[in-house]
This record gives sequence, C-alpha cells and structure tokens, in this order.
Amino acid sequence: MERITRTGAAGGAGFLGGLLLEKGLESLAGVEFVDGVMAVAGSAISAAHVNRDLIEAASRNIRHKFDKEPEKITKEEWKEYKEEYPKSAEYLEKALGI
Amino acid sequence: MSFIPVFLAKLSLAISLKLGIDQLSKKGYMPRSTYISRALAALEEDDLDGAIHNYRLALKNKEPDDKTEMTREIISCALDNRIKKLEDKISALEEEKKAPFFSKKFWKRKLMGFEQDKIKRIDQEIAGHKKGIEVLENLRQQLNEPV
Repeated sequence: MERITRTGAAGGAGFLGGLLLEKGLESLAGVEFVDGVMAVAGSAISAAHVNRDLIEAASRNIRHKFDKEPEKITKEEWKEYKEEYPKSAEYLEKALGI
Repeated sequence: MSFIPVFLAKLSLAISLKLGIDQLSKKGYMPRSTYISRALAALEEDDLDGAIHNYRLALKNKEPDDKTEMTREIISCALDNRIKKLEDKISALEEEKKAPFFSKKFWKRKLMGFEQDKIKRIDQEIAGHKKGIEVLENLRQQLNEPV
C-alpha cells in the first residue's frame, strides 16, 4: 500500500514538473520567437505607418492647442502654429495639400 | 529522439534572435521609423518620458531628417500645451485667491481669518502646478539636448 502511495505521489510530481517545463519551453520557443519575428516585421510596417502617425499626432496637438478641430482653425491660428512649429506645418501642408 | 536536438536548436535560435533584436533596439540600430512610431505611440498614451527616449534613439547613429525634426516639434508642442494648461490653471487659482484692498473679502480675511483653509488649499494647488511645469521644462531640456 505504501509503495502504491509513493509511486502515485512521484508520478503526480513528475506530471506537474513535466507540465511546468512544457509550458515554460512553449512560452520561450513560441511566444518569444513570435515576438522576435514581430519586432522585425513591425519595423517594416511602422515605416509605412509613420507618416500617418505623424499627421495624426500633429492634428491632435492642434486640437489641444486651439481647443477645436484642425479644419476649424482660423488663418491667424494656422500662422501662429506655423511660426512655432515650422517643420510640422510644412509637412502638414504637403500631406494635406493645403 | 531526433526531436530534441532540433527543438533545442530552434529554441536557441529564437532566444538569440530575441536577445539580438532587443540589443539592437536598445542601442538605436533599428530603423528610424521604428523609434518615431514608438515615440508617437508613447505620446498618445501621455508617456512623455517614453516619447523623448524613443525620439533620442531615432537620432542615435543617424543624422536628423525632416521626420525626426517633425517628431521633435510634435513632442515640443505637446509639452507646450501641457505647460500652457498648467499656467492657465495657476492664473485661475490666483484670480480665485485675489481680494482687492477695498473689498469686504479682503478685510474679512485680514481681520477675521476668513477662508484660510481655502487659501491654503489654493496655495498648495498652485505649488503642485508649478512643480508640474518644472518637470515639463526638464523634459523639454532633455528633448533639446544633443544626442
């Protein structure tokens, strides 16, 4: 009886140990690997998205600065923005065809 | 049995790839657009430290270009907007605190100690906002420091 209990306990511990090892390796080989590949792919994708992100960020700043939607700002406000942030303004003008 | 060596080889490749990419990323060797994207994402989440850190990585090992300059301006504008909001709050609080010499409010405060708690609270709020402006100015300095 004692031998059966000991065998059962050892088997259970072995099963748990194996399960933990399997999950650990799975996360290393699976998730980490996918992350690595994604980081490389992400670089390529981000290059394509960066222009849109810049325009969105600049628009958000205009919205916060003047408390209104970018398309509703006046000529004077746009001039003010352009004086303070010339590169962004120039980029926005080109991108939006202003 | 041949499964184990193949698995171990894949595992070490995955780990080396991950570590290599992390190192390249930390040292600023990833494409510039990666850091610009990260900086803008951080800014969107209100993480100014993260935005400045990634902007500086975008300049590491590379010459500045139109996009990095625009990113700098975008971060700078975000800082300016926050500073302006805090300055407006300070002005509003100072206005709330103000009591003209010939007003009842002034003399009630002076002689009878009226609204002392309120004034104390306003002063604390003003001090907090001034501290916030100081932090933002430090961030601006970091943004403009040469890489």
